[in-house]
Amino acid sequence: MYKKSIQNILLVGSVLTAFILVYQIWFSGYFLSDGYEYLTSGLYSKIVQPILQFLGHSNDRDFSENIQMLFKPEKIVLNASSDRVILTEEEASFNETRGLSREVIRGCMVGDYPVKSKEIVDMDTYFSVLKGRSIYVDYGKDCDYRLFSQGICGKEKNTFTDDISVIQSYIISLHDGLLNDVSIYIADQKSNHAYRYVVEADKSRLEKQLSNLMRQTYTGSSPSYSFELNFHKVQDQRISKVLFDPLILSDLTPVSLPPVRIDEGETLDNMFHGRLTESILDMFSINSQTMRKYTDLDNARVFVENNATLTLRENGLLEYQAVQGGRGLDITKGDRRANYDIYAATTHAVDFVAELCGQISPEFFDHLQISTNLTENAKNQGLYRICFDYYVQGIPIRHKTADGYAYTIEMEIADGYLQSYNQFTKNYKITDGEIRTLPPMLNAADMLVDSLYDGENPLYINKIGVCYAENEQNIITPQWHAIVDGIDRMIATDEEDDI
Amino acid sequence: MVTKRFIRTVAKCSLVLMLAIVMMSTVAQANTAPDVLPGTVESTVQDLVILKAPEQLVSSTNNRKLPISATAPQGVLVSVYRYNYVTGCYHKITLNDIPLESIVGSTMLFAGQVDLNSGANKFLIRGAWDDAAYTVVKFDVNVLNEGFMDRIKGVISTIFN
Repeated sequence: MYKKSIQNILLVGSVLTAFILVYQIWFSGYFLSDGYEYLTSGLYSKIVQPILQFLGHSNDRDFSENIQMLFKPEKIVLNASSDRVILTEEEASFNETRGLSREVIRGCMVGDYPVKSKEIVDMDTYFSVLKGRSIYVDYGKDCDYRLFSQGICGKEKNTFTDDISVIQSYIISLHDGLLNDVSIYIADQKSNHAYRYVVEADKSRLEKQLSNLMRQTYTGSSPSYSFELNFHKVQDQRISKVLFDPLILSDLTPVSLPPVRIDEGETLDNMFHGRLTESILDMFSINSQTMRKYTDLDNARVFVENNATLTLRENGLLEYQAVQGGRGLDITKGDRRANYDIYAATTHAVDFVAELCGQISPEFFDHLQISTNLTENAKNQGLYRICFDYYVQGIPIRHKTADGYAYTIEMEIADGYLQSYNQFTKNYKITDGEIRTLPPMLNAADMLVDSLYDGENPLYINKIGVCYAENEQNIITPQWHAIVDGIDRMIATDEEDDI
Repeated sequence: MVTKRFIRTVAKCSLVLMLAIVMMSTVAQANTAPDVLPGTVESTVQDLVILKAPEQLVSSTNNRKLPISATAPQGVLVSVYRYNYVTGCYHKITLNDIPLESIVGSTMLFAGQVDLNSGANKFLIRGAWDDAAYTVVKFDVNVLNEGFMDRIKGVISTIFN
């Protein structure tokens, strides 16, 4: 009897060991460097995903939540009775205002606020709406409308789909036209048509909410739009050295910013020597049993595989580079690759970043925002560069490298394969110390003209704002940065060089 | 002997100091504009400052804030004045005790914002190299009563509904 029990225990133990070993061999890629993911991804896409969709467990919801987190408005401008308030993420009322504007635009999209009429308006009309009682929601970059819609109402198609392909901002006008209607104004960045949609909404409630928000947030200063200052127009009598995008807001006072420092945590140490190394290798499908690894002269840990190289640098920079001509990491999780477009690329990029940040530091993800336009690559369809900024109280951080200033995350995707991925993994936080003051925006524009004006063609400033710049010695200083003629520029205010 | 040298050194220092003060005051004079200008003030130089916004010399608005912009060559001091109906003069506008003026930089742009009073508002923008060479541009802005605008809209709304 006693002997039989031992036999049974040994048998069960052997069976369990066999299962574990089979699992290790099959799913941890013991034999093939790429693992057996192609088998399991096919299984996932062809069997598991349809069943989950049938049961109403689609993973679209996750993406919708993630894109909401990563694609927030850059600013919301409230305008009422000559008073104007600019709200950015660090303001207490930002989320409340975002919630209000979101409720209205979502209501229009899903039909809760029916559209009574629609017309195309000229840009002067569009601009003039911003002077009346209105809420202007500006994302600061172009976005494919399907992605925008997914983020707002969880659906790709809705009321505005037939008109709008690329969106950057929208206006909710509460006192519009002769009849004091509630209207939504959206400019399609692709066709350059601005649309006015008159909607049926509870105007008195919205007006009351706008008035309350204005009362809570109005500080007395009212920055002017470039179109109000005519800074977007060439003047006949005098040469123009610089033109501004009509929707740039000019605050004519100096900008004061608190100091920021690196939030020392265990993340970096863990990344290099702890449990995170294995998780990161897993995320990039680097087989720890077949890769080569070494520490280079800069003390960076380098992991080399047949298809790619992953480098973990001491300053927290994580670099993944697929070999030249190679496919790189498949981030589609079995999705279709045919007609690969910005929608697919963004969903895959967002899911990948969310998963990686979930492994490294969930708090890090809360500070991220997409920084580049999410639009089709007309020159090379299928190839996309998507970048993310780390924000501290509504202000992005840029990192100085040998090649200029870099975003916190930069990724290149070709037809669903990750070609390159760079991420600065440090966290930052506001700290006590001396408040730094930057000169007003026009002074920053003076510096741009001094360094870039060629004597003939006016510079065109698409965007201008403040950021924190971290140099190679990890010193973080506030600086002006701008997009001039489509190129990102850092504006030197002290002895630092601009790019 | 030592006292003499000391007196000579002090005299030299005083002279240098005086010269510096005179030079500083000249520079300061060149970079300041009078606080008050007579209502009849005219330009001594043409087109030193060109008004960009508002576009018209006489305009109307129902906003209580007026963005003002102008272009001028780099180095010109641009100042904004408001007409005072009591004194009959233009007075330099100040916001929190800071005058609405600045020396134009490389962009050749000037920008500012003023609060409007009900009814007629008269302004003057002055661009100056110095006390002798300056251009003045006078412009008027009428503020329409918002309540009046709303009443008109209300009537139209009633008719249409």
